[in-house]
Amino acid sequence: MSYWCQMYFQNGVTFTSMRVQWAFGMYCVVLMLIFVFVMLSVLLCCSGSHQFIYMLTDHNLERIWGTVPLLILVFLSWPSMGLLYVLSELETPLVTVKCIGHQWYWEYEYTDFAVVSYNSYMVPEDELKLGEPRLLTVDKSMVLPFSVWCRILTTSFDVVHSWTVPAFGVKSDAVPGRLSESSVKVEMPGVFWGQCSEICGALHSFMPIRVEVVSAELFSKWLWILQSSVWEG
Amino acid sequence: KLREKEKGDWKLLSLEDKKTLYRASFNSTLEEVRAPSGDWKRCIGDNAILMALMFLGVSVIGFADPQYEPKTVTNEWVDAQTEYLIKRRVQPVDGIASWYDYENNKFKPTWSIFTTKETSKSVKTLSEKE
Repeated sequence: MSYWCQMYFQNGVTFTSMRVQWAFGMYCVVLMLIFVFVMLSVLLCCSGSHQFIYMLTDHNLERIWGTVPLLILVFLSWPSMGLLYVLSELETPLVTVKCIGHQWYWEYEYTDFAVVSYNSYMVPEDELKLGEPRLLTVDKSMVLPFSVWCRILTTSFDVVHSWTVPAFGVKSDAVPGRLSESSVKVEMPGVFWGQCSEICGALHSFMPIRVEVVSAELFSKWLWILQSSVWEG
Repeated sequence: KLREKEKGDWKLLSLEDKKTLYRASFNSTLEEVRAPSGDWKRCIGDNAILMALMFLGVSVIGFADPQYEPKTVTNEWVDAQTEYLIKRRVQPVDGIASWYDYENNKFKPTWSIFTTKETSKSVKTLSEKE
């Protein structure tokens, strides 16, 4: 989650999110250069009392100021095209999780061995323990193993929701009647938060997402316990 | 009348006649076009009045109807939440966990503004348990 007064992105823990943030930084630098150049030109044109009225056409100049922006745009599209394919990359996933959006909670379904699912509700403000973040605390979080390719399938039971975790660089629309696939390989264990990102009704702001990323061993133990509790009834 | 006089010899025109004819033809001189109008003072003044009215309105509304403040903005809760984030190593690359010295259980000198008694005490307890 963000700390107070955070301006920039949350730290990316997947390689895709790190690449996306790098591209954003690069675009900001190019934007600043263009902005400074344009502002300087405007200031130079506005200052001084004389006007340059003797030049009517200059084809060379027009060629330059048509080609240079085109080259800049091609340069900007280079990382974007690469990212387009990197983001939809998915090697053989070892874990598949289905995130089903309801009004107004998330249901997580692990179907690798037995079909187990549980709901994740936001803890209301009155029931928060000291120090827990407001609007982000949930009663049950989603668990994923780290350094393992995970497939996240999002869908919805009623209206359109969006499952997002900024630290993973994932924002996946949960549309009723279809499965949206995203791939995630989290490189760092820890806890990561997100919130529903598609307006879905009155409590749209009150259905957070909490993902705990743990070691593969711990994940398999947790999944075994969950599945055992389902089998026992 | 002046127009008819203009059609004759210009040396017969007085200075006042010449000025009147110039005004009729060209409206203003080059120096008058270039001269500063002082309109910027009116613009700034009008904007200042509008901004003052806006601030007045906001302060009246703000003080007349205090909004509900959640309990999580109190200093006590904020300190506890900082400790919560530090314990879970949230944003360890260049975020809050990277500002904390886990070996000595305190914030690094640049970030000492975040140091509170609670933060130092509880994280130390956690490391002792480990």
